[in-house]
Amino acid sequence: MSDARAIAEETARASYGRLLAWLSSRTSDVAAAEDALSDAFRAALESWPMKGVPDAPEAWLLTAARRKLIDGSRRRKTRAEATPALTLAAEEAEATARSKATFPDERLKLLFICAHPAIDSSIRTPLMLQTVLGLDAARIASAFLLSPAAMSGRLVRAKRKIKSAGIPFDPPGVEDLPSRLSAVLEAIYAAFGAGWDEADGAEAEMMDLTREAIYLARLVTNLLPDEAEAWGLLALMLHAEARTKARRINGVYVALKDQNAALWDRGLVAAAEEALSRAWSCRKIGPFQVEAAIQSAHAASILYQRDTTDDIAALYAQLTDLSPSVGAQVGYAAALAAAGRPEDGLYALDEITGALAERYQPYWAVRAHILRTAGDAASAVTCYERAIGLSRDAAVRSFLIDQKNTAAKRA
Amino acid sequence: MKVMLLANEAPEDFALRDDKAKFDAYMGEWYAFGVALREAGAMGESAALEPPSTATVVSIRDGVRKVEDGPYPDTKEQLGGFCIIDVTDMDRAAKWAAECPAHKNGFVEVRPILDLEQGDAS
Repeated sequence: MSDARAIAEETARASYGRLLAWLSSRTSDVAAAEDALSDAFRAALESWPMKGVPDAPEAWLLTAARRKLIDGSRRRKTRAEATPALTLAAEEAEATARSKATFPDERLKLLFICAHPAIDSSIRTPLMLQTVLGLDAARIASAFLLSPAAMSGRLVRAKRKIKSAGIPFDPPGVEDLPSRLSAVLEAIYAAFGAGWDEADGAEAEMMDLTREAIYLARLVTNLLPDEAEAWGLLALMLHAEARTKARRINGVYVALKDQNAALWDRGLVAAAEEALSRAWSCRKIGPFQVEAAIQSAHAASILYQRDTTDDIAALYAQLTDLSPSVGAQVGYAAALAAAGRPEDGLYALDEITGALAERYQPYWAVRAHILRTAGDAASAVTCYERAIGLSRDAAVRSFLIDQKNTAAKRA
Repeated sequence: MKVMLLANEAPEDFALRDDKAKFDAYMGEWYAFGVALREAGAMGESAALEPPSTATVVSIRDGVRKVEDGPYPDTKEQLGGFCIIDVTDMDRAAKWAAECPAHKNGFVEVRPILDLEQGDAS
């Protein structure tokens, strides 16, 4: 993508999000505001890359949206209250767009609304991608493995709930901020995860969802620069993003320790480190920061040939404290084994009980790996077979089959 | 906006109504909740309901009226009472709901009242 095009698209997107946040926070009607702006946004994406970005991008968008706003208020005569409010808000926005150098950024309100506890958690990420970034429902649907019609329906329902349930657009107060912010960050991380899954699939060119997630995390750090976990999330995603090219060679999955660091995007690694040090400077520890620190330690071990295995085990121990989960516990087990403590690793795995472990592929892959390193090849093979049976991803599966065959030779 | 809080109580809460030793404490919590709402000027209509064992379910299927011993046994918790409150937004409503005594063992459903005056067709 050319620079001019990238700048135009980024400005169009930022202006769209700002305007949508402004209009919907004044009317409580996200759907009507989207309706009014959608054509104008599409026109901007066509025109700006060629003709250049206008001086007052929000004013440009509002002018382009005017016809739609007027048409809309005619068409929607029956919706007595909603439309005059939108037209009024649009007029106010237009005056603001013309009078001020930069249009006020109220996208934070939109992020908090999308991740409001009264909104079903599975629709928060799609809602964010659609309202803050202007992604279309079909594109979002493909990332979340839903039909476009089903995704549109769920998005419409969520927006209707925002309006009819009276979910307030005011940012949360001090008391609620930590939990509300962590809901926002989790929804952003879910977008990143969806992008990751896509990249694992056949359509590697669709993986820009990871970039959208990074954009959103950056947005949060710009708007709330003192929130450590926002920086932590950003650092975590940048580290993962930096390794995209090395993680998969000709469709074959490459484990982190075997990756060719020359293929890493060093600019992204540096950006990740910077974000992590911003996070530390806020002095408020949280799970995303610890996860980012683990990735940072992995990167350091490869880039500078430093033995960071003990650090990584200690960080995982902290992570299982801060935010206990099966994933963290399995990571802790793997880290203990890597630090030369395979028995402790197995013990950590044994602490996970029940159905959670039964169907969790990494649990079996890590157990197999530890058993193999400890010399119990026969048990390792059995565990590899469980892991292989639980893998959705073809590349990961063939990686595990290779591992199993190596173990079997020694059995 | 007007919102209805639907207090869904667990069987053990309903049982407290017949427990002489615990009745005062049980009712006292509801009384305090009502006083708090009234003092905040948020209280609308409210009522407690007789226990679910007294319910009758009426339905009409294929033109035939059917009257059955109710309630629908879908959930353990059953509607024990309601109150309509007047608040600015969902966050305020949710804060009141969190103070409603039913939430300890049961749950509180928060439902905006349909405003027919506003003519919202959405």
